[in-house]
Amino acid sequence: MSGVMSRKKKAEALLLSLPAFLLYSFIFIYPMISVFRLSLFKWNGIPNSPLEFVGMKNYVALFTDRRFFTALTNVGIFILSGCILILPVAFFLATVIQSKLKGKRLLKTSYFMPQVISRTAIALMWYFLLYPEGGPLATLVESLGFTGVDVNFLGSQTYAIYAITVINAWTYAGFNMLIFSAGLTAVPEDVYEAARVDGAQGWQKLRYVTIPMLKSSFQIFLLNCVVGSITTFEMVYVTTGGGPGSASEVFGTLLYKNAFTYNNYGYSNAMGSFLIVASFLASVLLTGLFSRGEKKEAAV
Amino acid sequence: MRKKIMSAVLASAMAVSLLGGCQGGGAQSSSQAADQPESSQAAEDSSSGAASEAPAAAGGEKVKVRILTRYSNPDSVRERYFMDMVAKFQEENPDIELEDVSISDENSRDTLFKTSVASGDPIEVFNFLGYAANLDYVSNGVVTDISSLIEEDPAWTEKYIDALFAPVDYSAYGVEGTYGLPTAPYGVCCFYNKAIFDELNMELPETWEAIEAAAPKLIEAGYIPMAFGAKDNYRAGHFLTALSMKYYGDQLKNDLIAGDKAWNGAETLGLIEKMQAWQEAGIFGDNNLAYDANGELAKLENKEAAIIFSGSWNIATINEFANAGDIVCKGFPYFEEKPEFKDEWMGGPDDFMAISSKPGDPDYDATVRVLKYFTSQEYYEGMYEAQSGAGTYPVKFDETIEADALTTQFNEYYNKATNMIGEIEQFSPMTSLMDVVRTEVTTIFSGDKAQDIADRIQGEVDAYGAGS
Repeated sequence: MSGVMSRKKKAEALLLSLPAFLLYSFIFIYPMISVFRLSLFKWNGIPNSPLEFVGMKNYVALFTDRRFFTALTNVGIFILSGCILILPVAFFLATVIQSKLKGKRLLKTSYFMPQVISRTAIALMWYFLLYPEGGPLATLVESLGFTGVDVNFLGSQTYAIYAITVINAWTYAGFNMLIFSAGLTAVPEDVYEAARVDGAQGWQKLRYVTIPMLKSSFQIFLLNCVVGSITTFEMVYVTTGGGPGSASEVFGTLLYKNAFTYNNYGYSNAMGSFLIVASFLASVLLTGLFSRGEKKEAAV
Repeated sequence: MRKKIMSAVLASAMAVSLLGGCQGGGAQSSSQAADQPESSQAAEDSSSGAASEAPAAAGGEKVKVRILTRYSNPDSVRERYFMDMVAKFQEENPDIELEDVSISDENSRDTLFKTSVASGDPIEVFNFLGYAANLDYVSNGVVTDISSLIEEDPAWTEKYIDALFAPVDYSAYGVEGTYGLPTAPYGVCCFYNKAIFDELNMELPETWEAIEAAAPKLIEAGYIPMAFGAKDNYRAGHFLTALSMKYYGDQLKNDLIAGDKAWNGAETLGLIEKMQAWQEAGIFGDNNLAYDANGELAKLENKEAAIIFSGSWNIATINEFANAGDIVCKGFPYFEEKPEFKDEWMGGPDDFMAISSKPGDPDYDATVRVLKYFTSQEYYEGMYEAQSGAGTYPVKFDETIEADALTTQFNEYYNKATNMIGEIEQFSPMTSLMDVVRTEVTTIFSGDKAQDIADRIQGEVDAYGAGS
C-alpha cells in the first residue's frame, strides 16, 4: 500500500515539475545543444544555405585566432580588476551601510543606483565623461594645468581595457555591496563580543571574525565576477566596440562580430560553446575550492 | 556534491544563455540542401507572379511591410525626405502598414538585416549592398530577382542609369537576374572651408604634396588641415580605396582581389605608411577616434577643419550650413607624381533597394508596391526638388534644376572621372574583409605601425583562404 502511495507521490512530483523542466529545457538546454551542434558546421547565417560539416575546424580556428588570445587576456584583466577594484570598494561600502552612520539609507540607495540603470546608458554616460575633446575629465585635467596630457583612454590601445574595467567597477560595486552587506548582517553580534573579550582589536576582528564569516559572500562575489567577466559584452561594445583595432576585444564582442558582421556563424557558435564550458568549469572549480576549504575547517 | 554541480551548471547556463544563442533553426543540413541547386530558388522566385495594384490583402486587413534603409537622421536632407515619404506612403496606402526600421549607422543596419535573415524572417524591403561580398544572399534566394517586374513595367525603370546596375549583376557567378535598384550613386570628394584659406592667404591645395606643404601653416593657425572622424571605421576604408585609386588606379584593387598582391605587400603597405605619416604630421588633427563622420561635418562648419574628405551624399546637408557660402567642393587630392591617376575615383552606385518577399507570399504585392514607391521616378524627382538639385541620383531628369554651387563643383570633377570603383573589399567574397580592413587601418589613430596593420590584414586573408 505504502509502495503505491510512494509511486503516486513520485508521479505527482514529476508531473508538477514537468512544466518547469520543459520551460527550462526550452530556454536553456535546447539553445545550448544547438550551440554545440552548430559549432561543428560552417554556416553563413542564411536559412537556405547548406550547413557544411567541418568537425573541429571552428575550434582549431578559434584557438589559433590572435583575437581570441587578446580576448582571453582582457577577460583576465576584467577578473583581476574585479578582485582589485570591486571587492575592496564593495566591502568598504557594505561596512559603511552597516555602520550607525546617519543617512546610510540614502548612501545605500546611491551606491545601488548604477544597478538599476541600463548598461548601455551607463556605457554612454562614461563615454561622454571620458570624451577627449571638452569632456568633463579632459576639462578637469586641463583646468588643473596638465595641458597636453592625453586623456583619450577609450581611444588608446593600451588603456582602453583598463578604462572599461573602471566603468565596470563603478557599475557593479553597489550590487556587490549588497552581497557583503547581507553577509555582514548574518554575523552574530556575540561573536564580535567574544572576540572583544579575547582582546581582538579592529583589524584582528576583521581578519579573524568578519572575513571568515563572510566566506559564502566571497564565494558569490567571485562566482559573479568570473562568470560575468567571461560573458561581458555590452559595456565593451558600446564604449569601444572591441577597439581600437582589437585591443579591448572580449569573448562577447568576438562572438557578436563573427556572427553578425562576418556571417561566420559556425565559428561564432564555437565561441559560444567555449563560453558555456568556461563558465561551467569556472563555477565548478570555485564551488569545489570553497567547499574543500569548508571541509578542512570542519575537520580542524 | 551533485547538488553543487547542478547549481553550478544552472548558474553557468543562465550566464551564457544570452550570448550562446546564435543558431538558425531554419538552416538546411547538407543533405537537404543537396536536393536543390544554390541558385535555383532565386530563379524560381523570379519566374512567377507580378505585383498588381490590387489591395494588399483581402478582407480589409492591413499587410505589414518593413523597410530598412540608412535614412533615419532628420538633420540630413536626403534622409529627412525619405522619412517624410514614409509618412506620405502610409497616408496614401491605408491597407499597408509600413514599418520603417531604418538606422543611419551602417553596422547597426547590417546587423539588423542579417539577424532578420538568420532568424528566417528577412526584412521585406531593404538596402542591399550588392557586389561579390554579398553573393551568398543572392545565391541562397534571400534577395529576390526583380527582373520580371522590370520587364512587366518598363516605364518604372526606363530613366535609371544602366551603368549603375553592375554591382547587382551576378551573372559572372552563374546567377542571372537583377537584384535591386540603385539608390544613391556617389563619389568620394573633399570639402574645403575656403574662408580659412582666404584668411591665411593660401591657395586651396588639390594634391597631397600641396596639402603636406600647407599643413604646418594651418596647424600653426589652430586649424585641422583635414579632419578624419575615425570613430566611424568606414572612413578608413573609404580613404584607403580613394588613395589607392589616386596612386595605382584600379590595378591594386584587381591585384589584391585576385590574390596577385598581398595586403602587406609594398603597394598597400606604402599607402598605409602614407596615412600614418600624415597622421603623425598632424594633418588629420588629433582625437580622431572620438568623433565620426558627423563630427567631421561639424568641424568643417565650426571652422575647426580646413578640409574634410567626404562624399556627394553630404552636399545637401552642407548646403544647409550657416557658412555654406564658404565651402568649396573638389575631388579627392591626387599625387603630383601620379598625374595619370588624377581622375580615378572611389565612387559609383551605393545601396540598392531590394526585396526579400517572393511571388506567392501573402505580403508580396504590398512589398512590390513599397519597392516601386521608393524607387519611382516621382520619388527621385521629389528628392531632387527637396535637395534643390544637390547631390547625385540614379535616374535622369527631364527638367533639370539649376544646381547649387557645391553640386556644380562636384559634377565638374565627377564628370571627368575616367574610372570609378567601390571600396576594394566589396569586390572580395570574403564577407569579413571590409570590417577587417576598416578596423585595422583605423588603428593608425591609436598608434599602430603600418607594417603590423598590413600584416594583420593579410593574416586574416590567409586564414580565410585556408578555411575555404
